[in-house]
Amino acid sequence: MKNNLLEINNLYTTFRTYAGKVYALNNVSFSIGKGEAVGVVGESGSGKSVTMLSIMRLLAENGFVESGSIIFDNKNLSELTDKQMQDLRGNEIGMIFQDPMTSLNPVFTIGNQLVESIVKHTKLNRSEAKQKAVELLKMVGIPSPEKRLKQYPHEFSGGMRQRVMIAMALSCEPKLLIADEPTTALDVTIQAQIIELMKDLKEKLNMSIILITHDLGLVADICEKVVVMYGGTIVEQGTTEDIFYNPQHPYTKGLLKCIPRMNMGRERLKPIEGQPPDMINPPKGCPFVERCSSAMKICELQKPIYTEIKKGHGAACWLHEAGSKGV
Amino acid sequence: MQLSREELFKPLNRQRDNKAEVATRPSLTYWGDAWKRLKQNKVAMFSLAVIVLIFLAAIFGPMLSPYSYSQQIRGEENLGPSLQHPFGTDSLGRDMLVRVLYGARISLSVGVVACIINLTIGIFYGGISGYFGGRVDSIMMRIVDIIYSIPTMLYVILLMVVLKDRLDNLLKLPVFSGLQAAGSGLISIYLAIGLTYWVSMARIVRGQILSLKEQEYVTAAKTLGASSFRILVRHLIPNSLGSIIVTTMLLIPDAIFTESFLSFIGLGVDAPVPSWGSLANDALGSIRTHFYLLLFPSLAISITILAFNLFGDGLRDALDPRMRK
Amino acid sequence: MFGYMIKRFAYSIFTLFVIITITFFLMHAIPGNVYNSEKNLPPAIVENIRAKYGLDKPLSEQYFTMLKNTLKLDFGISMKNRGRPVNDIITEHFPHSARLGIFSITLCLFIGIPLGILSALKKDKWQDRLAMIIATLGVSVPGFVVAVLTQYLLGVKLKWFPVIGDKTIYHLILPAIALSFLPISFIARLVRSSMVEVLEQDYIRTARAKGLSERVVIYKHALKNSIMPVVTYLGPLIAGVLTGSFVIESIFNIPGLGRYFVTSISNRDYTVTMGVTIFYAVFLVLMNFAVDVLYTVLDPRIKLKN
Repeated sequence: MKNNLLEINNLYTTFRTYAGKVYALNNVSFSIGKGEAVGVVGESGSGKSVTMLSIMRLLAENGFVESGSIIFDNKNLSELTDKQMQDLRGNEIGMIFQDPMTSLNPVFTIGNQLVESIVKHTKLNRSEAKQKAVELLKMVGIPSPEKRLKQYPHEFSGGMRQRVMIAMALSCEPKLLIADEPTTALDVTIQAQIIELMKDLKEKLNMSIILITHDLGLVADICEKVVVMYGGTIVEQGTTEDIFYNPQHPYTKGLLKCIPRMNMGRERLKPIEGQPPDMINPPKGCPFVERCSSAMKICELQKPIYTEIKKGHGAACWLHEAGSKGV
Repeated sequence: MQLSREELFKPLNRQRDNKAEVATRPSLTYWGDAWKRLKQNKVAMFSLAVIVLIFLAAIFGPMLSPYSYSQQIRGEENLGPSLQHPFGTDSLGRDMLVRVLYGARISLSVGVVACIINLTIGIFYGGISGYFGGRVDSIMMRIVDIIYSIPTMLYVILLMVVLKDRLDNLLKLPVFSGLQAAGSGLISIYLAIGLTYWVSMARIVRGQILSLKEQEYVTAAKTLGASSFRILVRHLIPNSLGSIIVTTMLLIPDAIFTESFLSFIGLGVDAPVPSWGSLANDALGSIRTHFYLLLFPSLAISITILAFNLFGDGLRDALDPRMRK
Repeated sequence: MFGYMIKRFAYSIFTLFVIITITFFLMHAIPGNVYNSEKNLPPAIVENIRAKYGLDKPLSEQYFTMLKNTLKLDFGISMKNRGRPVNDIITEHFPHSARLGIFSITLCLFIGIPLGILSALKKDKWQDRLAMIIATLGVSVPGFVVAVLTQYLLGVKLKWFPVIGDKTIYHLILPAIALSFLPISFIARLVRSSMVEVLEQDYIRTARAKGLSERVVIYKHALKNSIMPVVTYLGPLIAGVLTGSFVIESIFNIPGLGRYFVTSISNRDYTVTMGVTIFYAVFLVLMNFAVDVLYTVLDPRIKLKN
């Protein structure tokens, strides 16, 4: 597809640890169109954040992208030098993180931290950049921005800090915003405000968003597409409607059963039992086999192949194969 | 084995076992675990061996030597290292090996005694402060703050000056005849170091007790109906003892350091009793001609402090359960 | 913030008061009369001298006189060096100590901090291992051992540096190395461990995600956070260099106050001992206050505590 902004193909990422090699990502492929919002969901350790850090080339020192390609805006990111990658980060791709309390440097003012990336990526000088920073703060809804610019992170509340993070990520009008669980650490009311803000800015700036979360409600709220990850692989992806109304993978179904709904009556929420797989010795077959209620013999032996059931909606599950063959 | 298609797609009928939820490594007691980790730390174990050796040498060395530390051998003055005198002899014809070994007794005893005094004062003071909390705590901690901001070495020196004169008089009394052998210098070193270095220990003990009182796992243990004794044994002791032991361990080299410093400036043990610091100081005058006189005591101090430091570091790594990988 | 400073200052003053009091009573706890090292003085002369120094007055009166004099920065008169005011001694000898001290502290910071950064950046590589081996040795070898060994090897044997005195900066190199060897090692270990910790912080990831160069990430974002512990260590560092100078000045024959202090102890020149102790205490407490202020300026979070 020509108008894809980001295309990830067959990405494998590992971490070398004392305990052994951790296979964090196994064959991850997905794409994002221009102006599109994609939700990446999955539980902790499923590889959501690792995927994003692989894109940004921000993996910890012991993390390595083993193979696969990441094409962003027709550039193969793995071919870029570190310097070119720096010019891309914060400029064409902005990123915000989970915990706004620790994501800002405590010993520099907000203004200082905003201005430095503007100065780095644009031709603006410091005073122009400062003006720009004021506008940004205004845009993300921080009152009296001139005054706030001179303050330190500890003088801001959690929600305000996340607004600052968003302002920072958007400072150079990136084509893609990666938001790694931007609301997890915030109060529910603040969460809603931040999400509204993101929806708003997406419209205004026409950028693409990758929203990492384990909150499916959030995904339904702003994303057009959903990628479901489990154990370092993509188990299902499709449009938001596909995923919510026609889930294919038992894990996706399980996730959906964990969301409370108003019309549930006295039905119980169904947790998915068991633990995520050990990524040092990943299972030979499907990573979900241990916890899957409809597991079959083959699931233990072979990795399921990702197959599309219709354009843009597919899952990696043997049930699908079995169903289509009518076993 | 080749499975048929039908077999491959047969549903798995299995009992859900909860094996994944069982901890993956066998649980060990706190001390067992710490000891295991310590044993894996080669540097720390080597340092421990060195420390044990130094202790043994200090205790038995002077007994086994044919010379005594104060014995002046006529005609054998200023000899370089030889088979008969491995560390040489000084200008008065005294065997340096036995003097260095005797110095080890002094230094180690300073380390140990100062630690015991520190530990006692520190645990009592910190314990009371942390246990009562509130007003008592804030007053006691203000006092500690003030003592803390007083330059320690300055007061060790001042205390030494005062104590030595006092003790000289006291030791003349028959009641203290037993202590006379130790000499006023050594006793005042014990006291001066013991009385000034306890502050950090008190702070640590107090901080531990205060924070442990508030810890959620203590509350949790109480909620689960654990008895006070059990909480003490299972939670408080392992968690505060670790840092107390580590602090103590790292205090020993500090004390030895201070002793050698004091002896070096002439405030330590009384001649002819040798200490590493005073031996180094004595050697200063003849350094150009008799370098070995300085070398051996200096090596002894450095190796001992190094061994204690490395062992203390290893102990800290082993006793800190949060470092558990 | 201003209130916090005032509070700290009042606290320092109170500490000083306590120190002066302790010093006074400790010195007066010394038994016998202060001339007992000079034997066989006729009692009449002793009485005369005691009267001259006010030692015949009641202790409480002496104490208040001393407090008053200390306020005027008057530390009395040397008992050994008859008639010489302790103030004169301090003004003559302290500049020598201060010069050496400033030089040493500069060395500590300019070698210790880069060494720690290097170690942290090369964590677990050979550069780190080597630096940490040196640093571990450094905190284990007493300053006087370093002093005597370098003096002998670099000064006497190799003749690279002058062996005694403090005429030029060149003369100060060996004593400064001896004084700063331990603190350099300590600072290197301190900076390494805090840098390693800081580099794992979320805000470092944020800085990288903004596309800042590695240089800016490390020398701006990580460094300012990792040298905070060094700032807290400045107080003990100054105290350490000061007390270290007691032996270093003797070894290198530098006419500093430290050497004079040690001599006064062995000479039982009590007014000098007391005067210099109080002078040092005042100096260190004020330095600690200055460090506090510096810390407040560097770490914006402190203001909250007010």
